[in-house]
Amino acid sequence: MQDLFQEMVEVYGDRVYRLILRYTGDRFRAEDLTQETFLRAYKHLDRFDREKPAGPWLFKIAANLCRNWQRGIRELPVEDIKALDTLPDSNPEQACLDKESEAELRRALKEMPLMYMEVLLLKHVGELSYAEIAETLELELSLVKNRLYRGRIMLREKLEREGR
Amino acid sequence: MKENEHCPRVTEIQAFCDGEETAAGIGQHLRDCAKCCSAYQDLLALCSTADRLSSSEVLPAGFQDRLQEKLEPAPFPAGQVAAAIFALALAAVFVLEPGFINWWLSVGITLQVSFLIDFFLKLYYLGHSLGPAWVIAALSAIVGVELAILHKIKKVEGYTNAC
Repeated sequence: MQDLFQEMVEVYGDRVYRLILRYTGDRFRAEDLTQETFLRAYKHLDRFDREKPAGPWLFKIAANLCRNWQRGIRELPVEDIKALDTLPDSNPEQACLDKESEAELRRALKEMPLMYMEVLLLKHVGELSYAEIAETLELELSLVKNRLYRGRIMLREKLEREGR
Repeated sequence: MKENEHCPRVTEIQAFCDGEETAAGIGQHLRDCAKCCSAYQDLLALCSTADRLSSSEVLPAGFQDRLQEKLEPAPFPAGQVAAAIFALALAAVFVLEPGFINWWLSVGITLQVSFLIDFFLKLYYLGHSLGPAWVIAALSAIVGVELAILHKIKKVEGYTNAC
Protein backbone atom coordinates (compact mmCIF):
# COMPACT_ATOMS: atom_id res chain seq x y z
CA MET A 1 0.00 0.00 0.00
CA GLN A 2 2.87 2.32 0.90
CA ASP A 3 4.59 1.47 -2.40
CA LEU A 4 1.44 2.19 -4.39
CA PHE A 5 1.06 5.56 -2.70
CA GLN A 6 4.73 6.40 -3.22
CA GLU A 7 4.35 5.57 -6.91
CA MET A 8 1.30 7.86 -7.16
CA VAL A 9 3.26 10.77 -5.70
CA GLU A 10 6.20 10.14 -8.01
CA VAL A 11 4.15 9.71 -11.19
CA TYR A 12 1.43 12.31 -10.65
CA GLY A 13 2.90 14.69 -8.06
CA ASP A 14 4.26 17.27 -10.51
CA ARG A 15 1.16 17.22 -12.71
CA VAL A 16 -1.22 17.60 -9.79
CA TYR A 17 0.91 20.47 -8.50
CA ARG A 18 0.94 22.19 -11.91
CA LEU A 19 -2.83 21.84 -12.24
CA ILE A 20 -3.43 23.31 -8.81
CA LEU A 21 -0.90 26.05 -9.47
CA ARG A 22 -2.83 27.03 -12.61
CA TYR A 23 -6.06 26.95 -10.65
CA THR A 24 -4.85 28.99 -7.72
CA GLY A 25 -1.96 30.99 -9.15
CA ASP A 26 -0.28 30.77 -5.77
CA ARG A 27 2.74 28.54 -5.17
CA PHE A 28 2.22 28.23 -1.42
CA ARG A 29 -1.48 27.49 -1.80
CA ALA A 30 -0.69 25.05 -4.60
CA GLU A 31 1.76 23.13 -2.43
CA ASP A 32 -0.73 23.13 0.40
CA LEU A 33 -3.56 21.81 -1.76
CA THR A 34 -1.29 19.26 -3.45
CA GLN A 35 -0.34 17.96 -0.04
CA GLU A 36 -3.99 17.83 0.95
CA THR A 37 -4.80 15.95 -2.27
CA PHE A 38 -2.27 13.24 -1.46
CA LEU A 39 -3.26 13.09 2.20
CA ARG A 40 -6.87 12.47 1.17
CA ALA A 41 -5.75 9.92 -1.40
CA TYR A 42 -3.77 8.10 1.29
CA LYS A 43 -6.69 8.17 3.67
CA HIS A 44 -9.01 6.62 1.08
CA LEU A 45 -6.48 4.38 -0.63
CA ASP A 46 -8.65 1.35 0.12
CA ARG A 47 -11.35 2.83 -2.16
CA PHE A 48 -8.97 3.10 -5.10
CA ASP A 49 -9.46 0.53 -7.84
CA ARG A 50 -5.95 -0.72 -8.60
CA GLU A 51 -7.04 -1.95 -12.01
CA LYS A 52 -7.51 1.65 -13.15
CA PRO A 53 -4.95 4.42 -13.62
CA ALA A 54 -4.59 6.67 -10.58
CA GLY A 55 -4.62 9.92 -12.60
CA PRO A 56 -8.39 10.54 -12.84
CA TRP A 57 -8.89 9.59 -9.19
CA LEU A 58 -6.18 11.98 -7.98
CA PHE A 59 -7.26 14.80 -10.29
CA LYS A 60 -10.83 14.40 -9.09
CA ILE A 61 -9.69 14.96 -5.50
CA ALA A 62 -7.52 17.89 -6.60
CA ALA A 63 -10.34 19.45 -8.65
CA ASN A 64 -12.75 19.21 -5.72
CA LEU A 65 -10.25 20.87 -3.41
CA CYS A 66 -9.63 23.61 -5.98
CA ARG A 67 -13.36 24.24 -6.40
CA ASN A 68 -13.74 24.61 -2.65
CA TRP A 69 -10.78 26.95 -2.55
CA GLN A 70 -12.01 28.95 -5.54
CA ARG A 71 -15.43 29.60 -4.05
CA GLY A 72 -13.86 31.95 -1.56
CA ILE A 73 -10.86 33.32 -3.42
CA ARG A 74 -11.89 34.00 -7.01
CA GLU A 75 -11.95 37.71 -6.43
CA LEU A 76 -8.18 37.80 -5.69
CA PRO A 77 -6.51 40.44 -7.92
CA VAL A 78 -4.53 38.83 -10.71
CA GLU A 79 -1.53 41.10 -10.11
CA ASP A 80 -1.15 39.76 -6.59
CA ILE A 81 -0.71 36.24 -7.71
CA LYS A 82 2.62 34.75 -6.71
CA ALA A 83 2.76 32.54 -9.80
CA LEU A 84 3.95 35.65 -11.60
CA ASP A 85 7.24 35.39 -9.76
CA THR A 86 9.87 34.24 -12.18
CA LEU A 87 12.78 31.98 -11.57
CA PRO A 88 15.78 33.88 -10.20
CA ASP A 89 18.20 32.67 -12.85
CA SER A 90 16.17 33.79 -15.89
CA ASN A 91 17.27 37.00 -17.64
CA PRO A 92 15.29 40.15 -16.72
CA GLU A 93 13.86 40.80 -20.20
CA GLN A 94 12.61 37.23 -20.58
CA ALA A 95 11.34 37.31 -17.01
CA CYS A 96 9.32 40.42 -17.81
CA LEU A 97 7.81 38.79 -20.93
CA ASP A 98 7.05 35.59 -19.04
CA LYS A 99 5.43 37.59 -16.30
CA GLU A 100 3.21 39.44 -18.75
CA SER A 101 2.32 36.24 -20.57
CA GLU A 102 1.43 34.56 -17.27
CA ALA A 103 -0.69 37.53 -16.26
CA GLU A 104 -2.58 37.38 -19.58
CA LEU A 105 -3.20 33.68 -19.13
CA ARG A 106 -4.37 34.17 -15.56
CA ARG A 107 -6.77 36.92 -16.55
CA ALA A 108 -8.11 34.86 -19.44
CA LEU A 109 -8.59 31.81 -17.23
CA LYS A 110 -10.21 33.84 -14.51
CA GLU A 111 -12.83 35.11 -16.92
CA MET A 112 -13.67 31.64 -18.19
CA PRO A 113 -16.58 29.63 -16.82
CA LEU A 114 -15.31 26.91 -14.51
CA MET A 115 -16.68 24.04 -16.62
CA TYR A 116 -14.51 25.02 -19.61
CA MET A 117 -11.51 25.95 -17.53
CA GLU A 118 -11.45 22.57 -15.78
CA VAL A 119 -11.50 20.59 -19.01
CA LEU A 120 -8.77 22.78 -20.49
CA LEU A 121 -6.55 22.41 -17.44
CA LEU A 122 -7.04 18.66 -17.22
CA LYS A 123 -6.10 18.33 -20.89
CA HIS A 124 -3.22 20.77 -21.18
CA VAL A 125 -1.80 20.73 -17.66
CA GLY A 126 -2.90 17.35 -16.34
CA GLU A 127 -2.15 15.72 -19.70
CA LEU A 128 -5.17 13.45 -19.41
CA SER A 129 -6.90 11.72 -22.31
CA TYR A 130 -10.53 12.48 -23.17
CA ALA A 131 -11.68 9.31 -21.43
CA GLU A 132 -9.70 10.18 -18.30
CA ILE A 133 -11.13 13.71 -18.25
CA ALA A 134 -14.63 12.25 -18.61
CA GLU A 135 -13.93 9.94 -15.66
CA THR A 136 -12.42 12.71 -13.56
CA LEU A 137 -15.30 15.13 -14.06
CA GLU A 138 -17.97 12.42 -14.36
CA LEU A 139 -19.06 13.66 -17.78
CA GLU A 140 -20.05 12.06 -21.06
CA LEU A 141 -17.21 11.79 -23.56
CA SER A 142 -19.10 13.93 -26.10
CA LEU A 143 -19.50 16.66 -23.49
CA VAL A 144 -15.77 16.61 -22.81
CA LYS A 145 -15.05 17.05 -26.53
CA ASN A 146 -17.49 19.94 -26.80
CA ARG A 147 -16.26 21.69 -23.69
CA LEU A 148 -12.67 21.29 -24.77
CA TYR A 149 -13.44 22.78 -28.17
CA ARG A 150 -15.46 25.68 -26.78
CA GLY A 151 -12.90 26.22 -24.03
CA ARG A 152 -10.05 26.47 -26.51
CA ILE A 153 -11.99 28.95 -28.66
CA MET A 154 -12.88 30.97 -25.58
CA LEU A 155 -9.29 31.01 -24.37
CA ARG A 156 -8.03 32.21 -27.74
CA GLU A 157 -10.64 34.97 -27.89
CA LYS A 158 -9.81 36.15 -24.42
CA LEU A 159 -6.07 36.10 -25.09
CA GLU A 160 -6.59 38.03 -28.32
CA ARG A 161 -8.63 40.59 -26.42
CA GLU A 162 -5.86 40.79 -23.81
CA GLY A 163 -3.28 41.32 -26.54
CA ARG A 164 -5.02 44.37 -27.97
CA MET B 1 -13.41 11.98 -50.45
CA LYS B 2 -14.86 15.21 -51.78
CA GLU B 3 -15.48 18.42 -49.88
CA ASN B 4 -18.58 18.43 -47.62
CA GLU B 5 -19.24 14.77 -48.27
CA HIS B 6 -19.12 12.78 -45.02
CA CYS B 7 -17.10 15.53 -43.39
CA PRO B 8 -16.33 14.68 -39.77
CA ARG B 9 -17.50 16.94 -36.97
CA VAL B 10 -15.09 19.55 -35.75
CA THR B 11 -14.80 17.71 -32.43
CA GLU B 12 -13.71 14.60 -34.32
CA ILE B 13 -11.01 16.59 -36.10
CA GLN B 14 -10.03 17.98 -32.71
CA ALA B 15 -9.73 14.43 -31.36
CA PHE B 16 -7.44 13.63 -34.30
CA CYS B 17 -5.30 16.68 -33.40
CA ASP B 18 -5.10 15.49 -29.82
CA GLY B 19 -4.02 12.01 -30.84
CA GLU B 20 -7.23 10.44 -29.57
CA GLU B 21 -8.88 7.45 -31.15
CA THR B 22 -10.89 8.54 -34.21
CA ALA B 23 -12.82 6.97 -37.05
CA ALA B 24 -10.65 5.24 -39.64
CA GLY B 25 -9.78 7.29 -42.71
CA ILE B 26 -10.02 10.71 -41.08
CA GLY B 27 -6.38 11.46 -41.87
CA GLN B 28 -6.94 10.72 -45.54
CA HIS B 29 -10.10 12.85 -45.52
CA LEU B 30 -8.18 15.79 -44.05
CA ARG B 31 -5.72 15.55 -46.92
CA ASP B 32 -8.47 15.46 -49.54
CA CYS B 33 -11.03 17.95 -48.18
CA ALA B 34 -9.94 21.58 -48.29
CA LYS B 35 -12.59 22.71 -45.81
CA CYS B 36 -11.66 20.09 -43.22
CA CYS B 37 -7.98 20.69 -43.86
CA SER B 38 -8.53 24.35 -43.03
CA ALA B 39 -10.47 23.40 -39.90
CA TYR B 40 -7.63 21.07 -38.95
CA GLN B 41 -5.04 23.85 -39.33
CA ASP B 42 -7.22 26.14 -37.24
CA LEU B 43 -7.54 23.48 -34.55
CA LEU B 44 -3.78 22.93 -34.48
CA ALA B 45 -3.38 26.66 -33.84
CA LEU B 46 -6.03 26.48 -31.12
CA CYS B 47 -4.24 23.57 -29.44
CA SER B 48 -0.96 25.42 -29.66
CA THR B 49 -2.50 28.46 -27.96
CA ALA B 50 -4.00 26.31 -25.21
CA ASP B 51 -0.63 24.59 -24.75
CA ARG B 52 0.56 27.85 -23.23
CA LEU B 53 -1.25 26.61 -20.13
CA SER B 54 1.24 23.80 -19.68
CA SER B 55 4.32 24.51 -17.62
CA SER B 56 7.49 22.87 -16.44
CA GLU B 57 6.84 23.53 -12.77
CA VAL B 58 7.83 20.72 -10.43
CA LEU B 59 6.93 20.00 -6.84
CA PRO B 60 8.86 22.19 -4.41
CA ALA B 61 11.98 20.66 -2.87
CA GLY B 62 11.26 18.67 0.26
CA PHE B 63 7.59 18.14 -0.62
CA GLN B 64 7.78 14.37 -0.19
CA ASP B 65 9.47 14.70 3.22
CA ARG B 66 6.81 17.14 4.42
CA LEU B 67 4.10 14.82 3.12
CA GLN B 68 5.69 11.86 4.85
CA GLU B 69 5.74 13.79 8.13
CA LYS B 70 2.00 14.40 7.83
CA LEU B 71 1.39 10.75 7.06
CA GLU B 72 3.17 9.61 10.20
CA PRO B 73 1.47 11.30 13.14
CA ALA B 74 3.48 11.80 16.32
CA PRO B 75 3.37 8.67 18.48
CA PHE B 76 0.90 8.72 21.36
CA PRO B 77 2.80 9.76 24.51
CA ALA B 78 1.66 6.72 26.47
CA GLY B 79 4.43 7.01 29.08
CA GLN B 80 3.66 10.61 29.93
CA VAL B 81 -0.08 9.94 30.03
CA ALA B 82 0.40 6.95 32.34
CA ALA B 83 2.65 9.01 34.61
CA ALA B 84 0.12 11.85 34.69
CA ILE B 85 -2.74 9.48 35.53
CA PHE B 86 -0.66 7.87 38.26
CA ALA B 87 0.23 11.29 39.69
CA LEU B 88 -3.41 12.36 39.56
CA ALA B 89 -4.55 9.16 41.25
CA LEU B 90 -1.89 9.55 43.91
CA ALA B 91 -2.87 13.16 44.50
CA ALA B 92 -6.55 12.19 44.62
CA VAL B 93 -5.85 9.49 47.19
CA PHE B 94 -3.77 11.85 49.25
CA VAL B 95 -6.34 14.66 49.12
CA LEU B 96 -9.40 12.49 49.61
CA GLU B 97 -8.03 10.14 52.28
CA PRO B 98 -4.85 11.38 53.94
CA GLY B 99 -4.74 8.40 56.30
CA PHE B 100 -4.66 5.92 53.43
CA ILE B 101 -1.01 6.62 52.62
CA ASN B 102 0.02 5.82 56.18
CA TRP B 103 -2.13 2.69 56.15
CA TRP B 104 -0.65 1.62 52.82
CA LEU B 105 2.92 2.11 54.01
CA SER B 106 2.36 0.21 57.25
CA VAL B 107 -0.16 -2.49 56.36
CA GLY B 108 -0.95 -2.46 52.62
CA ILE B 109 2.54 -3.18 51.29
CA THR B 110 3.08 -5.90 53.92
CA LEU B 111 -0.19 -7.52 52.91
CA GLN B 112 0.74 -7.45 49.22
CA VAL B 113 4.22 -8.80 49.84
CA SER B 114 2.91 -11.56 52.09
CA PHE B 115 0.38 -12.43 49.41
CA LEU B 116 3.17 -12.78 46.84
CA ILE B 117 5.28 -14.86 49.21
CA ASP B 118 2.28 -17.10 49.90
CA PHE B 119 1.61 -17.42 46.19
CA PHE B 120 5.15 -18.50 45.32
CA LEU B 121 5.31 -20.86 48.30
CA LYS B 122 2.08 -22.49 47.16
CA LEU B 123 3.53 -22.83 43.66
CA TYR B 124 6.66 -24.37 45.12
CA TYR B 125 4.68 -26.93 47.19
CA LEU B 126 2.45 -27.64 44.23
CA GLY B 127 5.53 -28.32 42.07
CA HIS B 128 6.75 -30.83 44.66
CA SER B 129 3.41 -32.58 45.02
CA LEU B 130 2.97 -32.98 41.20
CA GLY B 131 4.68 -35.66 39.20
CA PRO B 132 7.35 -34.68 36.59
CA ALA B 133 4.88 -35.28 33.71
CA TRP B 134 2.45 -32.68 35.13
CA VAL B 135 5.22 -30.15 35.63
CA ILE B 136 6.44 -30.60 32.05
CA ALA B 137 2.86 -30.34 30.74
CA ALA B 138 2.24 -27.14 32.72
CA LEU B 139 5.54 -25.62 31.53
CA SER B 140 4.74 -26.56 27.93
CA ALA B 141 1.35 -24.90 28.22
CA ILE B 142 2.97 -21.73 29.57
CA VAL B 143 5.56 -21.74 26.76
CA GLY B 144 2.75 -22.27 24.20
CA VAL B 145 0.76 -19.33 25.54
CA GLU B 146 3.88 -17.17 25.53
CA LEU B 147 4.68 -18.09 21.93
CA ALA B 148 1.09 -17.29 20.90
CA ILE B 149 1.29 -13.88 22.57
CA LEU B 150 4.65 -13.11 20.94
CA HIS B 151 3.27 -14.11 17.55
CA LYS B 152 0.27 -11.83 18.05
CA ILE B 153 2.48 -8.89 19.09
CA LYS B 154 4.69 -9.43 16.05
CA LYS B 155 1.65 -9.35 13.75
CA VAL B 156 0.36 -6.12 15.30
CA GLU B 157 3.79 -4.45 15.03
CA GLY B 158 4.12 -5.57 11.42
CA TYR B 159 0.74 -3.98 10.56
CA THR B 160 1.71 -0.71 12.27
CA ASN B 161 4.97 -0.46 10.30
CA ALA B 162 3.17 -1.18 7.02
CA CYS B 163 0.85 1.79 7.59
